[in-house]
Amino acid sequence: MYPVEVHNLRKTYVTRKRIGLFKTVESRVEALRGVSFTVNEGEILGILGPNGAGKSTLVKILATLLLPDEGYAKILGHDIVEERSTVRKLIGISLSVEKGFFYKLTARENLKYFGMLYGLSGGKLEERVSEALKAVGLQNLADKFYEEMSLGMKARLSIARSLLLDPPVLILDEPTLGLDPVTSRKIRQLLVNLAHQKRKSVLITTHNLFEAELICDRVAILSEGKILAIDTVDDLKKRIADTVFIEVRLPSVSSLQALNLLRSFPSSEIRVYHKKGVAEKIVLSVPVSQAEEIMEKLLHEVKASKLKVRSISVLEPTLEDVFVKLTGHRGV
Amino acid sequence: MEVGKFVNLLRAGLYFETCILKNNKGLFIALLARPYLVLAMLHFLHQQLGTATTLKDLVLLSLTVTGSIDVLWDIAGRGIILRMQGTLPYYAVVPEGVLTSLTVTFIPRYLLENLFKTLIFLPLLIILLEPAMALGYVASTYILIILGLLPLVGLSAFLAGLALLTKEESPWLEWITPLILLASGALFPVSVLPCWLRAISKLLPTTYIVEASNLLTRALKAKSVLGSIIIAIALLSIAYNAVFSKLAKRTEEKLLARGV
Repeated sequence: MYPVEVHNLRKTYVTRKRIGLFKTVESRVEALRGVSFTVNEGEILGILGPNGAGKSTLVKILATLLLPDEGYAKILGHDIVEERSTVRKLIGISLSVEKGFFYKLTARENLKYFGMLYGLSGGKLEERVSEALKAVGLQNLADKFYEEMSLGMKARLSIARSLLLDPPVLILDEPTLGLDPVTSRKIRQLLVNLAHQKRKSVLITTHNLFEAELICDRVAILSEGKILAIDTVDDLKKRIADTVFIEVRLPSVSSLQALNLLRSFPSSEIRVYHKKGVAEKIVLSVPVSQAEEIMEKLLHEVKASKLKVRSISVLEPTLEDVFVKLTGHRGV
Repeated sequence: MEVGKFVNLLRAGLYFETCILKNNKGLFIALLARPYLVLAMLHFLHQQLGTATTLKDLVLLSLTVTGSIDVLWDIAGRGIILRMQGTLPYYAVVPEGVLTSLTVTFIPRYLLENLFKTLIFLPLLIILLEPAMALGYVASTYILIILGLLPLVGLSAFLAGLALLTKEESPWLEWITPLILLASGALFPVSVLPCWLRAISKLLPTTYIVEASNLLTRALKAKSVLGSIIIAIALLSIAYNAVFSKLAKRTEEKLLARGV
């Protein structure tokens, strides 16, 4: 029995738009189109996907906040639709790092209130609130009002709430969104500890490829409501092992000049990275077999064109490369 | 719903309200000022209409208006505010469900707010009546407000579900509040309303709450009918809650199909 088991989940949103006084037009958006996966005990599964991929829909369904149209999902063997009440005791959720609490209540008061809502009382309530605060490092800020907290503290408090019932499964929607690098690192470390030491099954959605690569035991790439691939980061990278990436860093040159130069190369893809409208980095994905030949030609061309270049290097594929290859999106 | 779980939610609501009142002094002052403002408005309206309602009767009516009837849109409005605040999903993952948790946790607020609102009239009533009578009047009024809530619990949950289902950013119930008050006889006696509005008023549960408060005013003079009023409200509660709690459950399923 898996802590999280999802099978062929489908969800279509139907909306009606009013056209005139009496006419309405129906529009249908297929948010999930047959999603299946499992999460093991003590594992962090990252759901990666561009905006509109269906990540939030998936999270809402697993959090019992939305009913699926087809398929099923089980938390520790309990169906999320048929056994909703039981499932709610087995999951901890965090849907937003910047809201979801009462501004005029302190961190402790907020947690106590939600703990009571979830059925905790007496000594157990006090104990769980203190433990949750300690787990996220907020024990010294427990009496701070929510409205006075930084985004990082709010994010940690949101995770603390998900831990109130000490659930075996955590479902976290973009737990580090908008956080500074230091706070993000703390949250990531916390999630790793929860999964690997406390043996919790953690499902996170993220836009952050670096984060996914760093902490997720497995990653599922979701695009247009479908899972395109699910595997460990290393195994996902092996899927594009026949490709290497040549990165050309430029001091200051217009994208047009750079592209003109690189257009003639036999690359399956050219990515141009801009900074303030100026191309500062160009990445060519090329077949491994032709990498050496292309590199030589590139060095020659750059020299001949008198284009100033900071560096030219050959890179191993990253999760971003896998993502781009699978989804066709340049960024998440 | 199990009694234990119901009590847990009540306790949670009470904790929340005491924290909110403790941390928001301004809110507490506004809470105490509002009944006097409603009383002033009712006094003005009844003077204009030339009805023979005394100030003491208007105190009761004012409390009923700001109390039991308010609950209908207060819970719906709260649901919408919680959604905007981002806290609604965390009510929805309470095992008892979103509408139950929303409604039951509101009850302590209702009881506390109305206790304060009723007590704030005590000085005025002491001036109008004798101290012992004023105390009795305040106590009876508070009991009526609590009784007035009972028939409206299921309906409130249902209306909150509808408000959340329509995904409006403001509680549309607020728009129809004045109409409900008018048709319920809270502003003017139902007898002076036009025929078509009287027909609507018969369909509104709030009409019977206002009527009960009027009856109570008379009952305080003739205590014999007080028992009958309590029985009538109890029957009304059973009937309304049986119907509307079922409707609320259906609304919650629809809400989940669209997403909380």
